[in-house]
Amino acid sequence: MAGSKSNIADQVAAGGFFGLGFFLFVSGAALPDGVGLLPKALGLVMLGLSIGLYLQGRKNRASAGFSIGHLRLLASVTALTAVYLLLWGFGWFPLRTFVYLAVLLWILGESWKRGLAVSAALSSGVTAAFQYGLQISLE
Amino acid sequence: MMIDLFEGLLAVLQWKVLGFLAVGVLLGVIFGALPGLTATMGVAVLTPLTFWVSPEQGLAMLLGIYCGAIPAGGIPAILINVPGTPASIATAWDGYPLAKRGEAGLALGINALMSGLGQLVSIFFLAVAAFPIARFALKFGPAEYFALAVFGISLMAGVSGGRVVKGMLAGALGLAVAMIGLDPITAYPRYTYGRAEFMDGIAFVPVMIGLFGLTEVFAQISDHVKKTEAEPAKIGRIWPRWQELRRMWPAATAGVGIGTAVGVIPAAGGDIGSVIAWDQARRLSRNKDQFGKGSIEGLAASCTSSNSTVGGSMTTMLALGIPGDAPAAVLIGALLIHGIQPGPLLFRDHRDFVFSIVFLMMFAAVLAMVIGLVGAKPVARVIRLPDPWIWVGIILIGVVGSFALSNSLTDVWVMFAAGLIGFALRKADFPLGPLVLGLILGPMMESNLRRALILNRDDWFGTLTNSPLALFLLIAAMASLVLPLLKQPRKQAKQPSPRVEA
Repeated sequence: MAGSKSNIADQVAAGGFFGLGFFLFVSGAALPDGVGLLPKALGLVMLGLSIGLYLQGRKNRASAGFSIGHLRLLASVTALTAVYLLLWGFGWFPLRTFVYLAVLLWILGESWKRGLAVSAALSSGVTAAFQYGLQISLE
Repeated sequence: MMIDLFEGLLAVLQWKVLGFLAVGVLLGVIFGALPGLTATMGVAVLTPLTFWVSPEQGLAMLLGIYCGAIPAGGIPAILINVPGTPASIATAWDGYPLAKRGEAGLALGINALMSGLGQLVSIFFLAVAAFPIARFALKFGPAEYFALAVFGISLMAGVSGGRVVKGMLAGALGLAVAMIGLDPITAYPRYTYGRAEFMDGIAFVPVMIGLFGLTEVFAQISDHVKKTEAEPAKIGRIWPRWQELRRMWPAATAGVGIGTAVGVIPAAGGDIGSVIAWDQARRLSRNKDQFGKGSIEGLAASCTSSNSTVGGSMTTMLALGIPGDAPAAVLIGALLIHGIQPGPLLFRDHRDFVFSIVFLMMFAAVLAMVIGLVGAKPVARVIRLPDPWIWVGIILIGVVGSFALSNSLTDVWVMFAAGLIGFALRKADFPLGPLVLGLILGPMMESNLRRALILNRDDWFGTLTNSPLALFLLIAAMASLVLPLLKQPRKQAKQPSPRVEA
């Protein structure tokens, strides 16, 4: 089971690097002489290595398995963080951050009471340190 | 030379610099003592905090984090059998059995003393050996620098624990990211897609924070491993007796020698050094059977060795500009942001500054030793902080730190993307170390290759073979990549090799 999972991970990675290598080679060829030297060379190296990885993945079925684990939890955390970043500039930084952290802690399984206390401490602490201590605007 | 030495010392002996050093050591101890948080992560995540102070103060804090985190990694290794940093893997092998025997205090005391000893001796080595190395490196031309950069990246890919192809691909990805921005020779925009914020290239620090901060948090959330419930260990006496010190002496000496030598090799860090030293000390010891069951000799060897790599890796980093291990790689990025370019020119033009670094590291090592001896009990309590608190703290500091670098949300998105890419790579068993090295050494590699080609009128063969040193480094680079590949099938059939984690 681990072997087949590993193969999928290696093959997906090999595919991704093959695509990137192809892009670098083609885009490097379109660049002026000298400027395109490294992209072209790197593209060729990536193409070769990705083929090597693909073949190695097929041959070696005993390498470490690929397990995403708590995918739903991680997806929630990344989605919430993306929303927090998209809303950057809207509203007051400490309040926005407090809400983000409180929801994040709740998603991660922390109780509401402790989550609110930790969120308040962290958002006010970071605001005090950066905005008032180091005089850096976070808005 | 003596004037530079005293000027370097005077620059350090200021209460603000020493204050930042103390804060750095304390933060480093906390990062090192928390399982899952590494010295690399500590330096990466806390680097933005140092941008608003003078280079000396910022450097003091960063070196404090580095020197404080490595020995502190031994605290959870001893108390709960979970290494705080990869460098303290071997510390758990004898430290935890000692703690289970009711001698946790003695194990913590040995960890603090031997770690301090290892760091101090290796820093002394740095002070003595780095100057001749840098003097030699001053003779390097573009071809030698290109070969050195290739050698550094290939070595890290080569020691990626049976993942050579993946290590090489990760290094290539780092080089690809480093290509974004203006071409180093002609200033032609490359992969910037008209965006002004990419003209100077992808900001290094957000990528580091993403790769080592966010990636680790994402990995811990996805694995969601509950923390080991630490039994309240009986601390007991902390100071080792005279006979015990005498017994540990040969193992500690071997540990210092091996650790410093391993640290000097680009890409090999404390994890490799401590395992090799522990094994060698076992071979040399009369009490071989005690190793792994609470041997103070084994503990001394692993603690001295993992900490001796600090001075060794800083020697290579400062003298040649090639990081000796992952924390040093991140430290290079932080130094560049502070306008400090590690390499031989630093030793020619700013010798006093090099001595300042040496003194800062010595003070940090002593302070970390004192904290380890008197503050192990309160630090042990930090280990029990709930994981979600640490996770959200790291995410928040990462986001705010990346934004604060240049008040740009683009940097935050870069950090976020680096975190997700790092997580995907880590889950697919790719080492992240070569990626960082590619990112750091990419510009050095490309600009020097292009300069060498211009000097040799586009003669590739002449460029690569005219210099014996460059040729030697390129052959060594090839060997470091090809040899592990040839050995890999046999190795995999036997057992997985140790892995270099950043």
